[in-house]
Amino acid sequence: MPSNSGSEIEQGFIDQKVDVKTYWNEVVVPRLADLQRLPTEHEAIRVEKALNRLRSGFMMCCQDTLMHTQTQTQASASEEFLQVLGVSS
Amino acid sequence: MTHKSLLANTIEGLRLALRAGNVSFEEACELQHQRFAEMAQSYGCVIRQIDEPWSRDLPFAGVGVAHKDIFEQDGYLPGLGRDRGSPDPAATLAAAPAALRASGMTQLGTLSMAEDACSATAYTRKLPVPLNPVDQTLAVGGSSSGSAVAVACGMVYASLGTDTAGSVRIPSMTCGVMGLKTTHALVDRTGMTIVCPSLDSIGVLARSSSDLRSVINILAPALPNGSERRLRVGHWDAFDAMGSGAGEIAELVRCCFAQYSDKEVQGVMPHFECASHHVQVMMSSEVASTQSERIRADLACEEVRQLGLTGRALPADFYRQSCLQRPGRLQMFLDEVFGDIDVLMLPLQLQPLPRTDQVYPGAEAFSVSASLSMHRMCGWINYLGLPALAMPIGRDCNGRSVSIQMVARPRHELSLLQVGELIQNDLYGPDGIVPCEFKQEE
Repeated sequence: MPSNSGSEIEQGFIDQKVDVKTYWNEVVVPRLADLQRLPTEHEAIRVEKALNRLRSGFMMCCQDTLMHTQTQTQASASEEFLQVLGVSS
Repeated sequence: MTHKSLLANTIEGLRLALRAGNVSFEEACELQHQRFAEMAQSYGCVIRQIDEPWSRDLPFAGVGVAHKDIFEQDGYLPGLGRDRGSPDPAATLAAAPAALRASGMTQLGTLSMAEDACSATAYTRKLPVPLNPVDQTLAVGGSSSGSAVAVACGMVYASLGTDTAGSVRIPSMTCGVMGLKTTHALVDRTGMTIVCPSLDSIGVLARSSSDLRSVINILAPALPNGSERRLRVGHWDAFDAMGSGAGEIAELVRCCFAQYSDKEVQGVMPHFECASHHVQVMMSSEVASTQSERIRADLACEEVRQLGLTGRALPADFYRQSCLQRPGRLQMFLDEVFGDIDVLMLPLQLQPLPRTDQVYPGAEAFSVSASLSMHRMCGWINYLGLPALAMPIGRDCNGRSVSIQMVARPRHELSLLQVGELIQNDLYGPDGIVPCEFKQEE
């Protein structure tokens, strides 16, 4: 799987080589550092559950099609999507 | 004379009555104002009444509407379910309500909504929570909650809402009215507050197929016409796959499939699963971005904060792949599902409609499955960008509305309305769904 995240920990998490606790401490905590109120334990658990669920979804839905999409940009994909819909941006 | 006896239930009925002189233009306007003000008190769904002058010589002159408080108004910024909005001399009416005004419709007010359009229920922290006209113990869905309540109780003929992951269809379902989510980017979103740029679509709520058609023809005049021939309808029986195959809701929905669908469509589940994954990624990532400042400053409501925290936490590649795969996923869905049908029918709800104490935050009997059942079938359609119609098909043994949804190819809203009209005529008659308030008077 190609790495587009620029982070080894991120890629390790996607590849299931890094567990969610390590990912939380190494990647998520710095990203939330600017919040006026840090997540409660309950909120953190919900985010961790979402991360696990979305990682499973990513493995199921994205892995087989990565080769077809890796050369596209998000802007061109968005344009192509609107074309399939038959609407202008 | 009361508004009940003078005001027709549909836009077309009102226009005919005006032309025939059964009601004068002045009477019709006065009665609609009166009705709006009275019911605003009863149902708590109005954020701000607007004293807009009535047009006289335009095609839809005399038709009163009101919209979700997410659109900029002349001289006023929307409140977005946070508050009642604020004056701003630079603000001008958003494109979609402006198009309705240009056709002659008059906006009577702005309507309540879930805070920042991010909840499947009507609950807000600081504003009154509107009551469900069907049964006040039932929850009102969000986020276009006020729109559904205002249409269901007969305050207005139609209302504009917005749909990010079900926000038109869910409230329509809970209040037993029709709700049309339009094709993504079909209707001009200028002046509307964007929550998720990739997902938000403008929608319309009304009590009849003909009223939805009147409004959509104004907002998107170049749509392909419905067909002269009978449209080919297929259905996806998702109940077993969702673990809710038995029960009254499944039974009622399956009766509807048996009556209106020509064939069962296979192979929808993988599309549902992947599109449901991608919409969660897109929604949380885009809420994290558009609501960044409110989340940082701890001003966001619980739903926005939770989505935003998840969005910040996700690996960047998740969002990127959800964007990159979107056109291919849509094309594959169209090829595989719409090869030989025009309209796909599928469940909208998996369980009976929940009570307020099952799904509003902090509720005593809070039920995760009841909450999930409200929106589980919706968001994947937003990822695909397709038009969808919420259609009430009857009542369960407790009198709670039961709805299905229908999906069509991009820009085929009129096909949805054609099938919707068939069902409406069979179940409710050509005058559409009778407002709940009127039924209580009888």
